[in-house]
Amino acid sequence: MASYPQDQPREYHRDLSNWWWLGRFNYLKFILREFSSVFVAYFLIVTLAQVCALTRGPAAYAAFRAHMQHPLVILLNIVALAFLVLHTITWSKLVPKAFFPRSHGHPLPEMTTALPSYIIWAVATIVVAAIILGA
Amino acid sequence: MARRANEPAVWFLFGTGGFVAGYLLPVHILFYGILFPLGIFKDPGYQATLTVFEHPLARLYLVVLCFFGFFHAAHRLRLTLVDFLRVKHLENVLGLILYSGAAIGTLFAIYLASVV
Amino acid sequence: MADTIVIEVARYSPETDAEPYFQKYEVPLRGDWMVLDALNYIKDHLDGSLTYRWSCRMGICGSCGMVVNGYERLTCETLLAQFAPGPVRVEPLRHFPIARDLVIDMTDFLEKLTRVKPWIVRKDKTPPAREYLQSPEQLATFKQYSNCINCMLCYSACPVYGIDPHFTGPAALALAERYNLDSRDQGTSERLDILSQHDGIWDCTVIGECSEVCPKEVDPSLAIQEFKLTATKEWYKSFLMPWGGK
Repeated sequence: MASYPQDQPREYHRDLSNWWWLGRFNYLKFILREFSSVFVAYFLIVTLAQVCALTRGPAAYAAFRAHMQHPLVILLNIVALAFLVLHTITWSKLVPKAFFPRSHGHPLPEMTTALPSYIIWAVATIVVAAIILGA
Repeated sequence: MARRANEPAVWFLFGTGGFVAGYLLPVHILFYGILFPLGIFKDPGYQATLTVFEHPLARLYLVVLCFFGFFHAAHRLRLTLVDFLRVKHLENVLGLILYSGAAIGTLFAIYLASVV
Repeated sequence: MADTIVIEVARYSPETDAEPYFQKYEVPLRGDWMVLDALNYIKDHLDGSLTYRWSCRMGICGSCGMVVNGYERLTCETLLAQFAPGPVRVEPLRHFPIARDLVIDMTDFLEKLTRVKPWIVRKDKTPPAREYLQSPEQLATFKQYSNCINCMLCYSACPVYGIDPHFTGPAALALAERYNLDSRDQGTSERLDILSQHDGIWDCTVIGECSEVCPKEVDPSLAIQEFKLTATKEWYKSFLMPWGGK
């Protein structure tokens, strides 16, 4: 970090506001995108609870399913799904770009780098859905 | 190598977890969290679901999903809370708590996978 | 279209002011004027004390970066009439100390830029007999990152730089990656050593606003992600194959 010369006229230092993330829509979108990780952790815990109930027998699993049918839980899961979809879409638009060889002097179109990710997502969804339903 | 020598390790877990959780978790939430509870699709029931889980690949799937997913969430939350709450001085403490949580979640997944 | 428009300019004089304030000026609203033309009009006709940086007035020198109505812009490329009826608020770049009015102290950026060694690093003991050859394909791998004009709009847009002054920042990292990717360069591990040590790259949380505001489409955010990938690969290599050279 730079140390500014002592004999310089008094410069004005501005501190970043604690509400910086409200200052611009893109900053707010960023914070929302990052908090999708809370819902990732949430449903991983739900999944562990589901598997735990499975290992304990039919009565425990029935109790788990009853919990999942509570309206507030369903609402929470809809919100969680929305955040997960936000995660996967923003992730697909951003992260794969770094894996494309830099053989262009200019940026690649967004869909070129995002499409392979969407295809993998679609295939994974179909395969897992088939296993879940066919079970 | 340096002060932040361990950062690449967790960053790799974070990156892999972003893909793993991003591709796999939505369909789990869709069915187990919304469609089955609402009765839009018929839940396959206890025995059928248990049979799927007993398969070795399914148990590996659970461990992989939880390991990468929990570390992804832990890393992302650590960085975001530091920026959001402006608590750079607490970053190491937060990291310790969050990564420990991820480790515990992973260990529980391994335990469940072995219990079947 | 009205005849005039009001510009609110941030003023700060270190000799007399405790903190910055806004001063209003009314300038002609010409259809082909940029915000820079309005600033020049103020200085030429209304208030000669207004202090700001500019040079080429065509978007290549990187001098005239400021925050116009809340967004980082090169004032020489920002059409004035788009803000009609106004007012138009012009402030200095964020996250740098203000020296006077719209002029910021860029010492920290220059130090970080030097730190990343933005030049060809070679291990040759003697100069080469002829120039290093490079194909158009090799040039294409880093050309985008070489477009940086050091205007610092990305530093102003980046909240991480505002929160943590140790962060190396978008432009310096994009230029580091430009040289890492250059086929003539052999300095990647030197740059990695330096940047891993000072919270150089790991503070970036991919907010992406740097790439949004960049007037030359450099996409520093992508450069940083690539740099992180390189750093991670090297870390695992040194961990798993410590006998490896370089």
